[in-house]
Amino acid sequence: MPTGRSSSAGAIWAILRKECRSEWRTRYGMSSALLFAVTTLTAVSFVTGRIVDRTDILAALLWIVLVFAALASLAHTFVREVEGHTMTMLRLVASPTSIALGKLGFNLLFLMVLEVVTVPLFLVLMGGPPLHWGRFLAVMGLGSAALAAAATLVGAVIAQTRGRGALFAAVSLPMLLPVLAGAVSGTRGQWNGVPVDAELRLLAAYAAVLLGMSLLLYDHLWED
Amino acid sequence: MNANVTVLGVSLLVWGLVFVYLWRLERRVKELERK
Amino acid sequence: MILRVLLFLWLAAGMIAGFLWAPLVPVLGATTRVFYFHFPVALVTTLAFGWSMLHSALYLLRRDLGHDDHAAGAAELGLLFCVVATVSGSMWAKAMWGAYWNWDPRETSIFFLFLIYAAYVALRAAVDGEERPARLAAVYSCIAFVAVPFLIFVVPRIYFSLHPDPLFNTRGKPDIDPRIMLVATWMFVGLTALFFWLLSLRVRLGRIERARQDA
Repeated sequence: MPTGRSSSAGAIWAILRKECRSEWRTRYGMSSALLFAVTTLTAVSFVTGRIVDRTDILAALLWIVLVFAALASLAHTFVREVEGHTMTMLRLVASPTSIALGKLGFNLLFLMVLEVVTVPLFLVLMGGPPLHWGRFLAVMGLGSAALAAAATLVGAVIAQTRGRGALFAAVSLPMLLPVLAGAVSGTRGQWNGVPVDAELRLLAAYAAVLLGMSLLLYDHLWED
Repeated sequence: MNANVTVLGVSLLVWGLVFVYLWRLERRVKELERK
Repeated sequence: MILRVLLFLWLAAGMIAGFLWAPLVPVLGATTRVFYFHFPVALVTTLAFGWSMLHSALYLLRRDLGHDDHAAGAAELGLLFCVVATVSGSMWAKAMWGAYWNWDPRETSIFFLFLIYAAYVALRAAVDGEERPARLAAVYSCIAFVAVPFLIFVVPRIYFSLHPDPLFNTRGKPDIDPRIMLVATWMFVGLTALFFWLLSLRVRLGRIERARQDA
C-alpha cells in the first residue's frame, strides 16, 4: 500500500503546476484545441455571417464550438498519463482526490484560456457584444465549470479503454446535455434581456454534483 | 371488432413464440448448471 | 417451471383483457390499446435502469462480480426494453399527433435513457479483462445516475410540452376508467416478471461462464 500520500491543497497545486508544465513543454493540446475552435468558428462565420437577431442560434453555435473543442482536448490529461505509464507513479505520491482536483483545475484553466481567445472572436465575427456583461460572464463561468467537470470525469473513465475518440463523444454526451441546455439557454436569455437565474442555478448544481461524484469515485477508477 | 381481434391474435402468437424460445433457453441454462 | 407457465397465462390474459374487455379512452380512440404495452414497457425500462445502477454501486462497495452480472444484464435488457418503448411510443405519436418524433419532455427523457444505456454497453465492450470493465462501467453508472434527474427536469424547462395527459383531468387526479388502470397495472406486473426472468437467465449464464473460465 502506498504510504506518505498527501491530500492537502499543496498536492493539488503541485499536480496543477505539473500539468501546466507538461502542457507548456509541447503546447500540443492547447494549439490543437485553439486551431480546432478557430477553424470551426471561421467556417461557421463564413457561411452564416452576422446573425445578431437569432440569439438562439448564436448561443447554440458558441457552445457547440466550445464543447467540441473541449471534447477534442480535455481527455488528454488522462490519456497522456495512461500512455506514458506515469499514472502509477502519480498515485504513489498523491491521493486520488488530489489527482482529481488537480486535473480538474488544469482542465478548467485550459478551457478558460481557450475561451479567452474564442469568445471575443465569436462576438466580433458573429453577434456583437453581450447585452448584459454580468450575466454573460456568469453563464460562461459556470458553464465552463460544469463542462470541465463533466469532461474531466468522463475522460478519467475512458482513459483506460480502447477506441477512445469516438467512445469519449458517445459516453460524454448524456453527461454534457444538461450543461449544453443550461449554458445555451442562459446565453440566449442574456441576449434577450431576461434573467438567467434558473440556468445559473442548474449549472452550479450540476457542477457541484459532478465534483462530488469525482471525489467519491476517483478511488475506484485507478486500481491496477 | 375484426381488426381488434386480428391484432390480439397476432400479439398472442408472437408472445407464444417468444415464450417457447425463452422456455428452451431456460432448459439449456438448467442443463449447463447441472454440469 | 409452473411459474413460467403462469407468466405466460398472466400476460396472455392481460392482452386479451386489454383488447376485449377494457374500454377506450375517448380522446385516444382505437390507439388506447398501445397504452397497455408502451406504458408498462417504459416503466420497466426505468426499473431496469434503477436496478443496474443499484448493482453498480453495490459492486463498487463489495466487489462481488455477481453484482456486476446484474448491472450488465439489467443494462442490456434495459436497452432492449428502451428501444421497444421508444418505437412503440413513436408509432403511437405518429397515429395521435402526426409525427414520429417531437422532442417533447417524455420522448426526450426516454431518448436520454437510451443514450446512457448505449454508452454503458459501448463502454463495457471497449475495455479488456474481467474486473476492469466491471469497475469502469460501475463508475459510469454512478455518474449517469446523478445526471438523470437533471436530464428529466432540465428538459421541461427548455422544451415545449406536446405530451398531453388525456387520461388525467386538469386537477391532476386520475379520472380514467378503473378497468384501464387495472389492465395497465396487470401488464406492468407481468412485464416486470418477464424482465426478471430474462435477467436471471443472463446472470446465471454469466456465472456459468465465469465458473468455466476459472476451471
